[in-house]
Amino acid sequence: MVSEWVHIDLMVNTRVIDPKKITSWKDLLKPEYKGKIVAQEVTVGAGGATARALLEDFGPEYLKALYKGQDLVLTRDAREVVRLMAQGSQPIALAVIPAHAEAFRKEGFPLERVFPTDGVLSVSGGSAVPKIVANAPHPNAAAVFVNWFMSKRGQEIYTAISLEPSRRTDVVVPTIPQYIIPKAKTKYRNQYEEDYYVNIAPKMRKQIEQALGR
Amino acid sequence: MEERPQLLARHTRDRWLGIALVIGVAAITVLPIAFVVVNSFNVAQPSQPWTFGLSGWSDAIFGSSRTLSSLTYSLILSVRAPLAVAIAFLISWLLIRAQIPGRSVIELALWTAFFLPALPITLGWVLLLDPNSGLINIFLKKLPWQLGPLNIQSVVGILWVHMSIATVPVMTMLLAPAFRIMDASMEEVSRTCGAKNWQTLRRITFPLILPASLTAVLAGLIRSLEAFEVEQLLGSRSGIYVYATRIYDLINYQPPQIPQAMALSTLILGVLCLLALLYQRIVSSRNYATVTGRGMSMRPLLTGRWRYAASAALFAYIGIGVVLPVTVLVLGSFMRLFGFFGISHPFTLDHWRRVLESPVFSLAVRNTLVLSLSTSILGLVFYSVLGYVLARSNLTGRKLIGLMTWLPWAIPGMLLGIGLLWLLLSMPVLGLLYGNIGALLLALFIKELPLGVNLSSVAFLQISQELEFSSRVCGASWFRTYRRIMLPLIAPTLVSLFAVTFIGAVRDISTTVLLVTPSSRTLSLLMFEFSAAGNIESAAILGLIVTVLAVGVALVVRRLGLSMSVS
Repeated sequence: MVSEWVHIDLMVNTRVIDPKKITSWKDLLKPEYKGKIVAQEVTVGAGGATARALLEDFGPEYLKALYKGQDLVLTRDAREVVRLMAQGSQPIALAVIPAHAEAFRKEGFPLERVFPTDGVLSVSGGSAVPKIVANAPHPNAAAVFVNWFMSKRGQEIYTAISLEPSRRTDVVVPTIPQYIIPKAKTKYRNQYEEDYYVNIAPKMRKQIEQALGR
Repeated sequence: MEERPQLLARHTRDRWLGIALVIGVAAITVLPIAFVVVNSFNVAQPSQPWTFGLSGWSDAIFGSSRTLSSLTYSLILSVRAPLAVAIAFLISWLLIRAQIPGRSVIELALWTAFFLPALPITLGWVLLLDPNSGLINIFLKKLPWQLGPLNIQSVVGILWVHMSIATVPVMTMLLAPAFRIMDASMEEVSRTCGAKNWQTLRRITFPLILPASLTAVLAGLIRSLEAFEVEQLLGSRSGIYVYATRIYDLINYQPPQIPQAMALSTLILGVLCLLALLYQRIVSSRNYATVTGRGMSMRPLLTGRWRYAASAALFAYIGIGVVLPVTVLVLGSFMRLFGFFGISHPFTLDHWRRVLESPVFSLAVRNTLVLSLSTSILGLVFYSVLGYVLARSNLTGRKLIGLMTWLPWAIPGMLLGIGLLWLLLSMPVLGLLYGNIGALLLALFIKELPLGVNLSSVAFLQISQELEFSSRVCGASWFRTYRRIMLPLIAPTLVSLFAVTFIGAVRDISTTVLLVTPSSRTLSLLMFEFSAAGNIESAAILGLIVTVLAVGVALVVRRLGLSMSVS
């Protein structure tokens, strides 16, 4: 895991929604938010991460009440999540990708990260996890690439585009928003830890699909 | 008596030629599909040895209610194939038989429509018909009558997008040549006998166009199962999942559910094989020669106001279905954030500059041209030869070849890609193709084979054999007959064939996406990468460039074809 950031579970458009009114995840179940929430599909990376966190913290009943009961608008497209939040039709968004959120914030859209007091925040590695295929024909070439990718130069290029903060402390990209940079003292759920990613996450996916009645 | 050994020798030669062709066609159509079928029973992890198991099948069928509902939606949405053929039949008749005013502009517009890439056009429609923020819906709200909102994210919306930019145009492209070369004397006779226009249409014209229509319906049905981008973009918000998006989901799960995806495909494969068999039965049961030595040109069938009314209706259809979304697309490519007119400086040239200056872009232009031209030239030669074999020859295994030619469409492009990838990596000689354009060329050649072969075989079926015989009787060789008689007669079809293959190659995403490497990336794949990364503005720009490129080349080819054909 070359870069690591705090997964954006929840973000709102403050032109429509007062962020102070959402202090707990349970607040999202209020009738006034019905049909007002967009989330990335649970089978896709970020959408899955949010669903897993909610399942672990609040159980399958909550998941069902939120996703089914509140008529969540689901899309696989990460940009669409932010688009709907920005245009205001679904001003609350779950599972947001940093680069998309920042592209809209740069143009003046009042999108704000909300941190409810309950639940555990997750850290994610996004697309920054180099993997090498077993028995691939050119292992040395792969090693050369990974070596460059992890270098200061490689990380500067990658993080400037993806807005995913590098774990190299000598790589500082000022455009990366503060709200996704992990804090030293906070305890996070590491969704990219190997056992979690390979063994736990697939099992949870089945539970999530069951909870959503698929 | 002297003739017998010669005949016998010819018979043996035909048999060996037939067998060789069967093997050749099987190698490129059956092998990748066999891989999919065999691996639907594989329960091992990737890179582990093959292990038999049925969990892929049971998970695919019983594991999730989504599967059943996605198949149902696919069935509902496939209604566009027969619907579009009916419309295309009417349009072709109006353009060629009724000769309505402005017909060349209309035909050109339909060609253009077919070149439009689905992804950005769909985005254009979202911009216009989003239930909350769509420009048309905002306009409708201001009107005094309680209209709308029209929702593009619905079954009707998906049908509309497909039919306006793909299904109806392509069906017209397939049917119009059949009309153009059809012997008009039969219709004339019908009219002389006192039949009304619609009676002639129903009793004479329709049956004559039947094989071409059936090819179009079948092709449309199969293609509709594979359609993906539009459903993906418009369906996911209203819970409309279709077979292809379900497959995509299964492949994109973490970890991927490949055996399930392959089991589901195998199921559909069975259904499609039945359809192909049915088609063969219908086509082989009758004589469909509509092109004889007799007169072809005729006077217009519609008169007076009706011609103008029909013309106006088609212009309106094109205005709404083609011009409107393209305009929005052009507009969108200059926007800082696609679709957001309300921000302080909504328009910019930045996206265009960034795309045009990028070295990735110029490489993609070159790759696209090389790939599409070589696919369509190679296709033109091989598809028309195979089509001729199917229509005219008595070679051994002819029927089997006919059936096999449909196979590449029986599985979604992405799985065909997986099958080919496996083939390339496991066969020593084919392995050389991996990593360059050769792999994409092979994939697209296979992908376009079904339509290419069957389109040209139908064209040959339409031409009465008497024409060939008279030429031969006059002493011309086979080749001379082919060049002087057959080629000019089927030129319009061949031009369509070339264009369809070319566009197929230019637009393809799903078949080639798994075979591409950075050095062989095409414009469409670059567009897909931009859009998958959420960079819709750059995707729109590439969509426009793909459109201009494809339309430009196609127009040249069309000119060429029309000048070659008999008038």
